[in-house]
Amino acid sequence: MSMTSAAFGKFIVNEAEKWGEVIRAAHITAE
Amino acid sequence: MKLPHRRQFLYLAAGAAVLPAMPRFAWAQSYPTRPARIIVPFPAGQATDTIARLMGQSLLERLGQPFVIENRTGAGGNIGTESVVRAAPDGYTLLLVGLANAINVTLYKKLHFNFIRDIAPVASICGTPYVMVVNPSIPAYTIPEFIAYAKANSGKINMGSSGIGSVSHVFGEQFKMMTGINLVHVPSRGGYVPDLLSGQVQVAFGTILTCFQYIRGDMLRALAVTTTTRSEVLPDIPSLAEFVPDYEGSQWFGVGAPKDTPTEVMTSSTRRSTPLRLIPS
Repeated sequence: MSMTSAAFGKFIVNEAEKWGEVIRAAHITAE
Repeated sequence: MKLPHRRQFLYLAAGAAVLPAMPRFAWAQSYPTRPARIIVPFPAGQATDTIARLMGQSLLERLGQPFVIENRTGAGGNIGTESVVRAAPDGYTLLLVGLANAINVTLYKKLHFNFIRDIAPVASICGTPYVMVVNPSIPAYTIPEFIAYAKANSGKINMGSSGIGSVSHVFGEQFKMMTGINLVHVPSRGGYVPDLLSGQVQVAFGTILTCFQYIRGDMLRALAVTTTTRSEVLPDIPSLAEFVPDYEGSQWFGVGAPKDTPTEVMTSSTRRSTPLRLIPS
């Protein structure tokens, strides 16, 4: 499973958005 | 996007880490001419560290130069990440990136760097599921049974995690939101497994690497893996998506470099790279 750097960059952005929604919805804040 | 994961769960794109840095292609072809560093922003012994060390060994064998692992821990991985942001973009300082970096983008509001902007993605390495495990005292053997039990005992079941905003935490919160159950989050800095084994917490989302021995020893009960497909490591354990449609959570790892690492060099190196599979002991 390898991605090009460009594909990996898009993947990271998508993951940041996906889990960012969970963090905001669950009101998780850093300690 | 779904990251593939394979039996034994480690897949290393070896050329990945080789890639970085320099304005000239000729230079890139001779890279590396001296030892390089791979910064791991988490403590030695954790999955992230294990993957980095396997990758470093592979790169040494392929390229003839040491790739020294440096664990720079703290602030949920942000200290190590920032050290790479501040490093020279010469290809000799790399970062082992993972899902925690993507989580931190939202979790931390006052960072002195922007991970998406300041770390150049080089290549992915591997993806792996987490596993949802319960203390055997919980009278649930399937996800539907657990959901029913949790709804009947709302607010009485503790969910352990590696800490606030950790991967195990957000995977659990995703599960809570998608099933409408109320679990009490109990973050642990020292690791949730002892509390889970003793029954102080009753459920957790953990790495297979951490939980496998306890599952095999019937000290923990695995209910599901977090990816959309089953894991070849735990083939009898269903995926969460079989019961909770669209649930998906994969831990993933890759390599990053300081942002000014020339992309053309990374691209050419990626093309020349050959995926390498490593089987962990």
